[in-house]
Amino acid sequence: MKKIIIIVCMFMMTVSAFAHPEGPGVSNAKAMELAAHRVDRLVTLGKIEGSFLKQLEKIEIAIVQDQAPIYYKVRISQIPPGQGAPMQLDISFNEEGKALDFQVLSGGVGGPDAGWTGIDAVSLVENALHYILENSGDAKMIPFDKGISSITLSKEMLNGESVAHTQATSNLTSDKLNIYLKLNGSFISAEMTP
Amino acid sequence: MKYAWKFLILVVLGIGGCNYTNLKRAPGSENLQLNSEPLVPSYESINKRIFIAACKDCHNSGGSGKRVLLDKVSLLNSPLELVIPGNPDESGLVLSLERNDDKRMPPSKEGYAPLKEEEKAVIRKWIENGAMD
Repeated sequence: MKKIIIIVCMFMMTVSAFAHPEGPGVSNAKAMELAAHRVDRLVTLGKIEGSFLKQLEKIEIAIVQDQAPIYYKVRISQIPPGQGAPMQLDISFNEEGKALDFQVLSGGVGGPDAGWTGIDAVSLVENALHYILENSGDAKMIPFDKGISSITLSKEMLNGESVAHTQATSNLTSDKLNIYLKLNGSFISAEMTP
Repeated sequence: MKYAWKFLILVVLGIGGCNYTNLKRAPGSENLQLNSEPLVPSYESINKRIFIAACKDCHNSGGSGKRVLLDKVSLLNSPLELVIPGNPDESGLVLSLERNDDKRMPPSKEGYAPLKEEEKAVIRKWIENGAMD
């Protein structure tokens, strides 16, 4: 009986040791997507200003060391004002993507209205991140799923149509991933640029 | 002739019934009438009476809502904090059902009606009770 218990314990220890053989439970892109969801949640709960939904311009992510249980820190920035610093929000996550804490940085000033007429800015970025996550099996997309470091949203003209352009950068490649969406959030196209 | 009329009526009712089942379901509403079991604040009841009827067309592993699955384990463990036991006010599931904008679930832009007040109240109660059952 004793032997059986020892064997079972050893098996369970082995299983838990290999629970995350490839790093964190969620990828950088997934953590970033969860951050976008978190912004929506915090606005819905009245914990941060609604401008973070409409005026979002950039999301950056970094893996932090020696601050367990914090694994990811995500910074959400609004469109910069004419003068001064933009409004910014930091959210920390554990390696499973669970939000742990948030903090609105002091001293930020609201910027100009981006004038998104379809869905809000956070949802546009979220849809772009969905494109990365849904194509994460593609070799060209892996550096952006695993190593995305920032994603920036801007409004541009494409074939005479006003569209949302997101540009993602990665720690794992110098290429940039450009994803174009209609203002209602539906996918138009994606391309890599050096 | 008398039987022919009866047959015709049955055929018409039958076709009507088929069309009824093909309609996009107004979430929750028919089920309350068709299912005699009371809706109670337990996962099993909520799943059977609300999720399967109103949500799982999309929220399944191959559907458009695959990122948000509604089995009990996913609800309790999702990093989206869909269910925070004891705290319905901050649970993502409740927030998505009760919001009034275009992110409400089930989605109005796809022709779905909101859940009924009593359905939302039962989900709230289940979470408030700790989401144990």
